[in-house]
Amino acid sequence: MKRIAALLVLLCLPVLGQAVTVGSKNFSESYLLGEVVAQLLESEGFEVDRRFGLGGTLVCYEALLNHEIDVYVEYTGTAEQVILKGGDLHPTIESINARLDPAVSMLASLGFNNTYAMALKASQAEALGLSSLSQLAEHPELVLALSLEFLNREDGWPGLSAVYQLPHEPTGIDHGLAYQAIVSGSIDLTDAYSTDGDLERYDLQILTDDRNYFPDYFAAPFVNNAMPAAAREVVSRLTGRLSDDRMRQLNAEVVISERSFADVAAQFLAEEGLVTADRNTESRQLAEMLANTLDHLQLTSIALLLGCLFGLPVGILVHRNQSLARAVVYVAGLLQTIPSIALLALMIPLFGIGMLPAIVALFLYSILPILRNTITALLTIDPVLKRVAAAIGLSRVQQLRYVLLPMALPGIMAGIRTAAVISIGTATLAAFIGAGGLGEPIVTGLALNDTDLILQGALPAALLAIVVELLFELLERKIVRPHMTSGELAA
Amino acid sequence: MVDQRPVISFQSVRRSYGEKVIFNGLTLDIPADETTALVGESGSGKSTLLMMCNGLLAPDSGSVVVMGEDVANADLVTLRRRIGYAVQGAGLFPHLTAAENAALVARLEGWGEFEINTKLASLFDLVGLSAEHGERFPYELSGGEQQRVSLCRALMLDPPLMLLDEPFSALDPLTKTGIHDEFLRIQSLGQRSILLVTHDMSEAMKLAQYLVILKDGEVVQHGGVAEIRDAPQDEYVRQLLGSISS
Repeated sequence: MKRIAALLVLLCLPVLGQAVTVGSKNFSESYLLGEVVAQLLESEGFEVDRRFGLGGTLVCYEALLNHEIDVYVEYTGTAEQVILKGGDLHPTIESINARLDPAVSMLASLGFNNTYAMALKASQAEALGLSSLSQLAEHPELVLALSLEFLNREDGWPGLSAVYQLPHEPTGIDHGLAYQAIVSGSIDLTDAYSTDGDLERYDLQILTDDRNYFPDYFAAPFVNNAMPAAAREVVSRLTGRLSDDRMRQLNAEVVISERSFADVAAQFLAEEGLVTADRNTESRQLAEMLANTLDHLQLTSIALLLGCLFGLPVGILVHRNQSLARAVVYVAGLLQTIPSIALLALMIPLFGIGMLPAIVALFLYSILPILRNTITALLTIDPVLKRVAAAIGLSRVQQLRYVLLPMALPGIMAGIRTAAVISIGTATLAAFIGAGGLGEPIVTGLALNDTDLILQGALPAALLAIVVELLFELLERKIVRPHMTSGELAA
Repeated sequence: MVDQRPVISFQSVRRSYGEKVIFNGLTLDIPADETTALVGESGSGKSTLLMMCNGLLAPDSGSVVVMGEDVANADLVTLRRRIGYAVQGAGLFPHLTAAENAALVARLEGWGEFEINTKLASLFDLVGLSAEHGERFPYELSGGEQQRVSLCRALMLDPPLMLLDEPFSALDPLTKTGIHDEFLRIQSLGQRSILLVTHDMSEAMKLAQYLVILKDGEVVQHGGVAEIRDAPQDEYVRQLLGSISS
């Protein structure tokens, strides 16, 4: 037991050394830009912690403000409307910086303007003679499906439909799936980014914004001012390096040629002469997988440890009182019914992003199996043996220590084991709130519709669950006498 | 002997389970230094009575005085370590070996390894177990062997009083006869008060010197074995005696 505790403590130790934390949102271009920034920093000797795939602008901004990340690439229009709640459609970076929280600032633009656009099949556009957004109002029969963020944000659909008086009633769709839906014909239009590589892949056409509705979305590094000045200088070397065309081309490299972000980013940096050394991306991929697995283990083991520290004593305390025990199990059961993704999202306002909120959520999930098994295992001990334990002169604590707990141990262990496996599975979702781990390639893979990438997270996670299951079995065999688990109890 | 101070004294004891009244003002003395058999059919309240002697159950009113101490005010852990306890089916803890079961409380009392082993050896010898039995887990022992281990556990601290709750009821006749002999040997060790609950009148007559006949929470008759055999005061007692000869 002591050795396991020591191992858990080791896993909890934070990574030593100076590090710059780079974030990204959960869509392809943001990952790619995150990777560009990260590799550039790494080539200059910084230790980079990647927190990619954060779920949305406010999650990223919150993380930047709380210095949970040092830098991510944001767009001027997003900063203006979503973060500053301003109405300037063409804000300058100076005017944004003047109004931002003094803890953060936006560096000079990378060069391209990735604004919103509405896209449809080029063949269909031609057939309908459709080339601009104002013509779209004449085609109410077209089916629109929009990404949820676009559907709801001020500078998205609500404004667009008002300005162009569009009669359509769009539904929400995951952005990663929208283009395939267009190709398959189940929808006609979706929102797109003007630098999206998929536009070329699926032969889509963009409708001209003839009433100049869409605001500027110049990409620019968004940094926390506490980031080391040297790192800031390195990041600003990217200023003006990316035109619209170049960005769309790089995006296409990822989505069409199915090259990894790391690969495309490395090629870009090399072509720009920003990084000279040729990196071995293969071994980097393996190292990343290992790092993700370790993150994952750390995440789940801390949560599990907390679950035990809470669940075991509470279970032991309440098991004597039947109605109290039932109430406690009921409350723990309620926690379990909250969908994991919702529980994770609920943690953000309380704990920000990163490991902490994920650990809290996983901890809450681990309580029920541990608590319920502990209580059940203690309750189902033969009442005659409980009576004998008292009658031969054991104090309450001695009854627990020498009789009840050893007899309940197999049941309690089973609860911890269940909690561990649930934790490992649920922790893959924690990547949505920047906790890292094996969910990171899964979330990225979902955003890219890339099965290989999804498997890079899913397979190690499954393997981890099996290994943990086996380890628990070994541990059980070590500390529980065999006849206690075989059901061959004494009469 | 009966005229000396009783080892257990029930004074106006009332006890009920929910609506059902088991004892309604029971007053009874159990004599010291001999074996008393508490005889009655199931539901007569004999186990309830036994459990009030070591505080497993408390009377609703009235008091139970054990070895001069009112159970209601006693420190139960201390009191119980002076009372040996054995139940039907032995009640051994399945995760401990026979020896660990028997020695558990002695170990908690701070006994040394040598002291424990010496005592265990003599007790195992007394009840006809070998040292090898001590290494086995309860599930590896027969019912009779388990019950012998349970008697060793009850005797480990050499208690002045033993409470035995139908310890031999679940055993087959042959085993029962054997373990009865061991029980008689335990009696011969020295003066000890033993309260034995049983529904078997012949067992009571064989092992006890004093009988308490219980029916529906009432004491029908109590007295020395010979006295009851020769002068049963009640049809129920006559029935019980009749069941032996048949």
